[in-house]
Amino acid sequence: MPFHRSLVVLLSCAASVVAQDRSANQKALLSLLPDEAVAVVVIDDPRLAVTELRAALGDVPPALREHFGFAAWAGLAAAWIAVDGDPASFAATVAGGGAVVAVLPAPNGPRLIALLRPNDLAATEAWFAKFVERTPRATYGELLVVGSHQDLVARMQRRFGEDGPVSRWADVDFGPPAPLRSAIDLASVRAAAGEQAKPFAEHDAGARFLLLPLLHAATTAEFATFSLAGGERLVLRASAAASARSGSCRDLFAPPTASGALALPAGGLSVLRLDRSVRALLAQPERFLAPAEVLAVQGFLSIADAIDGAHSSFVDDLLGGLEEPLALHVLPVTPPPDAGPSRLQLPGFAVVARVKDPAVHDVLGRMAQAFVLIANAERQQRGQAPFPLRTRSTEAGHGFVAEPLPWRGPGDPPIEQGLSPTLWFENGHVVLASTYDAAMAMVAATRAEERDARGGDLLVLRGPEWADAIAASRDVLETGRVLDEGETPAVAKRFFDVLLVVARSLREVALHVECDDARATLELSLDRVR
Amino acid sequence: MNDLLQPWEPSRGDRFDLAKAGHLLRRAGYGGSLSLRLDLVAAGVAAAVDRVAGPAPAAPLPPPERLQDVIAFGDIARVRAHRVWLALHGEPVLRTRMSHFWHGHFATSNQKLQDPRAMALQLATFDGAGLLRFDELLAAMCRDPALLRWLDNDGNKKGKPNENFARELFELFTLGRGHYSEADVREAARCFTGWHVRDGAFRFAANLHDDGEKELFGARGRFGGDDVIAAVVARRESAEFLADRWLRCFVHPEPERVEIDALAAVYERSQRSVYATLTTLLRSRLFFSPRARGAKVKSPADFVLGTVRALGAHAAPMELAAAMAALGEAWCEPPSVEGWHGERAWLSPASWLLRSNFVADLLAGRTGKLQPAPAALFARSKTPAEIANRAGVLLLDGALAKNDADHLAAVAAAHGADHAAAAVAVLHAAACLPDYQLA
Repeated sequence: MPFHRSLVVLLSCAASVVAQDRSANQKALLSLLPDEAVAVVVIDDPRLAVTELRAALGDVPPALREHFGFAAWAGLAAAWIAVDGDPASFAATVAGGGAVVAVLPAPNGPRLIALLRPNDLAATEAWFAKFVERTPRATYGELLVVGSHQDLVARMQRRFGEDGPVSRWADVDFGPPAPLRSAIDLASVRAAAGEQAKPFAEHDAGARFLLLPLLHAATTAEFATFSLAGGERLVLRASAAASARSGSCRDLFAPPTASGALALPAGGLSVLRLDRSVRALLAQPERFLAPAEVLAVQGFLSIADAIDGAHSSFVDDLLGGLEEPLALHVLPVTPPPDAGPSRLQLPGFAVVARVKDPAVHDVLGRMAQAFVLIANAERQQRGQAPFPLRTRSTEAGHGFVAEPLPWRGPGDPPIEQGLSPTLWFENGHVVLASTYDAAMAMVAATRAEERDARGGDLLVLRGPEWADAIAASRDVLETGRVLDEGETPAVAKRFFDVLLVVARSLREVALHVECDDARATLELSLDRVR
Repeated sequence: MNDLLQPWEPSRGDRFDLAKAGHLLRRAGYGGSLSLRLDLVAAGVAAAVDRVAGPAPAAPLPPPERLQDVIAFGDIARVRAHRVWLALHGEPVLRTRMSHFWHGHFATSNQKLQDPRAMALQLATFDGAGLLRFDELLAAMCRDPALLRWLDNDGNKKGKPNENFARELFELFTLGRGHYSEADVREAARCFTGWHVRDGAFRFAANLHDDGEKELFGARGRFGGDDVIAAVVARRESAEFLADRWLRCFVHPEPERVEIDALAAVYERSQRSVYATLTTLLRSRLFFSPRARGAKVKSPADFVLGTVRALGAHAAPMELAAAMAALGEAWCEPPSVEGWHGERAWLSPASWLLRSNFVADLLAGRTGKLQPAPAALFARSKTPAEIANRAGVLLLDGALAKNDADHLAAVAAAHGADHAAAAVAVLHAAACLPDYQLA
């Protein structure tokens, strides 16, 4: 073995045994990886990783087990037997001293190579021989090399014996300690994707606006790092040294607000908040958009501005009168009291914003009236009853509510009978909601003043609440699967059985994306119902 | 009864075989899987006709499964997909086939209505009453909100009669051109004044109805809409008009006079029962005669749905409905009040290419979400000749000409040992044969 390679292995062994320096351990393993690897996963302490992930994920919900097919049961049973009923101890046995896994690009799909430092090499080798004998592997000192292809394993063996350079992966920053960390060489991935990897500017306008921080990072950053942590929640964090805030799109981010955004009210299903300025986009579309996209924006504005005639500008007076970013809240289903509910019941949707300029009340009021007039004329042409627009007020607020006339037609009421589009002003906020109840729920939330301190983009989904909403329209949604996917009714039923069990077991799933001046970070967290 | 419509009896030299079972399923429904065809052969022709037609309905049948779910979506694409699902899985098959026959007969388009609920309910009316006495169906259709709005009867009121509905009632639904006068149209329009729609349902607006005396087909009286219906269905021309339509749909695109007269007589004798007339026709010597077999061009629905059913497969109705629309048959959106003209109009160089592409995409899994994959149907076919023969049985009831069989075997052989690719290629080649374009 060349001197330098031997030294690396010896030092890492010594570090492992004497000082338990896992960082040094991993550095040694990383130094052996092929340079052309495009992604690397580092597991410092497999026992801890398994323990934390199991704690975060919890047990399989009992109601889900009955939906396992025979193959799934057999697979799980086999896996359980294979790890001797103790995954954490198994992980420690096969990779107690750490592990790295590398992904290498290849014409016929990615190849994998794993370097494991078992606590018990003999037991590990015996396990492989018993359960996955054909897996290509080799031992080197106290290391076990496992790969997807025999030639890859052989190449690693040769590399141990060569006096080659230390792999570039030894110098990659995998971020702060975590049970499981990873880095992806985005530049290499983009190069491998060739023409399919479009530069940022070539993605369509909607994607650029909605996914601005992520898309910018994915198309410009050299590396992205990931970490997975368990415990109370399962948290996936990703970070890349590329920030859209420092580029030409920086003005698309909403100006910072002092108060933070409204939190999702209790019982709410979801909130979606994008840290963007629609006003900035529409005010100077030529700064951010391609010529064809600019024309589309101008076409939209010519109509939007016409609705309120010469009284106001959609961009300056309407959007300019509101504090951005806007937030979309999804609220529970509230069936109309005066008619049997439609078989398809929509949750409530509400867009809420703080009012900067009170003049926006009049602008929005006039636009609501004009819009309802147009919509009712179209409904009349289709022989459908209008939604009369009424003004309503309370001690603290006022607004407009378009409520449907009672349904007297044949069969169940149509889906729109469950709507009562509402525009409401109260407590310094404006709420545009699909139902009056949803508007009032959001008004209550503005009074409660519960704020979400997180900046950036945020998507929150609450599983049990979504499960209730899905269950309320389950028959219709099953029919949708039958018609859209070609599933048999039994398969469609099973799909929703499983979906509801999974949704009820997830208290909250949150996706949070934030940019500072240098980095974009993403955090995806999953919180089980305990 | 005319000899043509006497029940066909199999004989030693003319058995009820796979080809005849396939013919019955293609005309009375949208084809069937090989196992279904074999079941019908085993059951015999009388039981086979009973099975495809179902029991005689004594009253309107309940609405089809999942109708209210589909209405709840408020989406015409899903209404269309629901019809595809019924065509693929509904029993008895004649019920759904007749619903789509009546959809082309009382052709109503959502492009004008923009009301998927009304379209779904109209189609459900065909499901429920499509095989009853024609009097009952016509009475239901004259109260159908979608048809009333489609033909502008919603604005037909006393003093300002709108003739559109009355004209199409005579010309397209019951009598045909030349069997009524302009005066009959005007007077019938007065009879239907006040037959309106409110809140999505039929409503008779008595204050807008012209209750005065009218003259219709030479008779005088204070007639209303139901009197027009009773008068028109009782006319011999109506029986002949419908017999001609049914013969074109089920037997031959150019029926002969003697065939029309014979079927019209059956219709009249059955008290204008659609079910009795059609089951007589489906059981008849005329239906199983060489003149009838392969005489029609498959519509896009026959082609798309028939291919999926012939393979005994499941597929995504939404995507199949989109494929049918691309081939020229968008249910709920007929091209005009005359419905689809069909037959040779279905085929052109472009549509031929589209049919070929559809089958290629379907078999390759690019559209339609076909399950199971085609290769599973060829598990026992090993040689190119066996694969070709199997494809011929699956899609063409085994009635392959020698040169077609050779062609399919050559296609299979070209894929060597790649069994799955050979299966897909041979099925595609079979579906592109001229014979497969015929029903």
